Amino acid sequence: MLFTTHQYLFFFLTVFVIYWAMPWARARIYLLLAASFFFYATWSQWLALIVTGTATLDWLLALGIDRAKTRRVAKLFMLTSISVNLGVLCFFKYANFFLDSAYKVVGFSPEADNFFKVFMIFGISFYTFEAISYTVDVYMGRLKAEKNLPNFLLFILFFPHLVAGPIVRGRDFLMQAHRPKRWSWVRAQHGVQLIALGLFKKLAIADCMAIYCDRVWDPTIVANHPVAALSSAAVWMAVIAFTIRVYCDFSGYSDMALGCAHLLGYKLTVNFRMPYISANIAEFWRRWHISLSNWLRDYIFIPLGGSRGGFWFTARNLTITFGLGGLWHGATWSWLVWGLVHAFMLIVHRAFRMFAEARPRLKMVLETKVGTILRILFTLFFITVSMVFAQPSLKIAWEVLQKMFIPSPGDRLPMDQNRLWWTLFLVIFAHVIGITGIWLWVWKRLPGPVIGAGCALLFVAAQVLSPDTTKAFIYFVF
Amino acid sequence: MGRSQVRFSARRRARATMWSAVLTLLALNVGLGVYAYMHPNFRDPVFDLKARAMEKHFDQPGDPFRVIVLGSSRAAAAVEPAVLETTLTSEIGRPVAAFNMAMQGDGPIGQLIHLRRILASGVKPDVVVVELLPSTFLFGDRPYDFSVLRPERLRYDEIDVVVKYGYPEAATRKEWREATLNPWFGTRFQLLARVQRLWLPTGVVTYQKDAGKLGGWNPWAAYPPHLYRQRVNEVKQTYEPQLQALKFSGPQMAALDGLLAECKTANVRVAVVIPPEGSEFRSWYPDRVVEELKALTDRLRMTHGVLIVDARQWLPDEAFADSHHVIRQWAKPYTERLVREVIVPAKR
Repeated sequence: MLFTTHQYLFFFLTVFVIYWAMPWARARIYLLLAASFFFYATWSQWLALIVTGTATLDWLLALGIDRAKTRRVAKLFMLTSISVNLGVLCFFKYANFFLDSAYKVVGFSPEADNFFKVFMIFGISFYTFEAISYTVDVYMGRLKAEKNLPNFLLFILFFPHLVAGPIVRGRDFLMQAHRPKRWSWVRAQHGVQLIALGLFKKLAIADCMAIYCDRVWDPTIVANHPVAALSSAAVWMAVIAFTIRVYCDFSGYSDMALGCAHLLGYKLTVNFRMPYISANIAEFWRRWHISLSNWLRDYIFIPLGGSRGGFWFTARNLTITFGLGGLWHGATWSWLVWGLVHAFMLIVHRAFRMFAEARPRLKMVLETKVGTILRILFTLFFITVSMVFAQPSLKIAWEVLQKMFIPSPGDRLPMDQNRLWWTLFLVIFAHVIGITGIWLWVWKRLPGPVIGAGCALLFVAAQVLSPDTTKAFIYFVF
Repeated sequence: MGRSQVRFSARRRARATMWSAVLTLLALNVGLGVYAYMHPNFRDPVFDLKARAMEKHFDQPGDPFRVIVLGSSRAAAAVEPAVLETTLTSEIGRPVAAFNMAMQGDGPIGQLIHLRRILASGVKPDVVVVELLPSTFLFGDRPYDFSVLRPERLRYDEIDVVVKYGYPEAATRKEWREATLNPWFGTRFQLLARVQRLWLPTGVVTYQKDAGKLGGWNPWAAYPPHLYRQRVNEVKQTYEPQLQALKFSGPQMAALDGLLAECKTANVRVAVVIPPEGSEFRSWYPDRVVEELKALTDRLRMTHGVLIVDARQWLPDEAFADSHHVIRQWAKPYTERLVREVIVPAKR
């Protein structure tokens, strides 16, 4: 059940109306729990049961950590929880990766020979990370173990964030689950604005950009129409379209998740802060998929030693963290390379920052308006090029890179480019009015009815501009 | 302003925002829904444009002999009404008004629906040329027409008709209902095409501002040589598997029978044409399908007593843009031959 379907609209409105019509706080938790289970069960009842089962085990293990008499026993419980979660994650997400690699080594074709394949669980990476962070936090004493099972299950299963994040921390969510909810017009307004914006990003921008970039990113299309047949200009356009798509798809989903949560009285972590205006790659990771960046920082990078050692020690930690971050996104060599490319860019940035800090005049020039714009463009260029690896096939990624940097003639993209350029203009315009503060200034002065009508128009525009078929959210498979 | 006042003001603003959003959304949906109800052709703008242009063209003094061509993009590209009118006038010595009502992807069900609309609007043609395009008889789990003549393009009373001819009932009614209750989504392509056609996804049947011009003829230009092969390969990828799997026994057959019976009831003379194709396209038909096609035309002749012409070999390979759509320069000779060998005999 995608957020962009009539089915979800009906489901959400039903839950919303019953939720606020209920006077009992506990009953609301049970309602959300049942709704969340139903939401996941629309994909597969078995998967819903697996998630509920592992979450219940995590709850028990966290209680065990809390009540353990010795640190050693507590550690054992924590490691058991991590192992179970990683075991589930590895089995459902990475088994195919290792199987395919093994099949290739011995020369089998798994597709043709119908070898053993593991089915994919939607959003598995998100909830395993949430569960791991919870037990680690309990072990580290940052959080008391939740005694109430329904509250804990709701933390893991809460349907707005279940399949594609944001990755919620126990300490942020569980407190909210305990607090009785009161209807707030301000919060509801915020929720509706986010839903309208998210819907527009997803339907009107991301799904449409998919028509351009699927010619390079969709393996089924590429199988019949090789990338080699495209012209270099067409490949560049596809890459630009993908860069727009991946941001609007994921941030659109996050906006809708946050909006739905707000309408139910919950606040989730903000996941994106206009990442494409980052002046360097480190800033990009503070603005892009913030809940994942923070998770990787808190549970991998810092435990590895963070940046407390020398340059090469930090470089090692960044490489490990982003290598794992790449594999988190997708169990393919290409995603691993994507992670390593980002690690490399971060290391280079770190080295350059040290170099520039020793030269105040250079630093000053870089921090001027022109210098900042150039740094933004430079960062965006490298992010765009790195997007080439954000796909299942390393071979295709390599072909795309060759096409991009060795000019050659070939076919055009399937749809007229007019819409691509208008969308690009719209995205740039939105970023400009966002960073200059114009939007906030205007928004604060607009009367409520105008904002409301604007939201309705945005909602309608999202639908009118949506393409023939709605695509699943990219991050569902992560 | 005190903190409580700020809060109160924010709450009031938020409430106004929410109500305004809900009411605007409702008003927009109801508004477009009512408009679509009052203007049923809004749902099917390609037909609407052509139908209006046709009525205007047929409304001329001297009671002209009226000819309508039904079919897919192939018939739309191949039959040039101006040539048809000149040639037929010289053959029968009477003024002729012809209109090409062929539309992208119109198979037998689409042709039946559109003919019914034409007859219901009061237009009475003297001859209808029906295109029999073998690939439109494909039936997977639903008829070929379902992918083109989508439920949102239909009127309420047409749902029963298409369901009778194989449209999946639940999906058809659901799509129609969704398009009616949420018209901004359901009729988005119809709306978008009026504003910016270039933004439509490929393959979506579009509204064309000029669809009613040139008597409904949609001339095709030849592809440059380097694109020709690529285009034919794409056509092959689409059509060869379809032609291999083709059977003339699905509910579309009943729709074609219904179409011919409808013409008979309305006392309209009818001719059926299998449109011209390039030699490469013809080579993708398996022998079985060619034999079944022959048996089908024999049966239609026997059952309905109509003239059926197989024009697949009428034109040389250079007459096609992609081995099945006739290019502009070859529409004239094709139309002239169509008049002499199909329309004039059908008139008799």
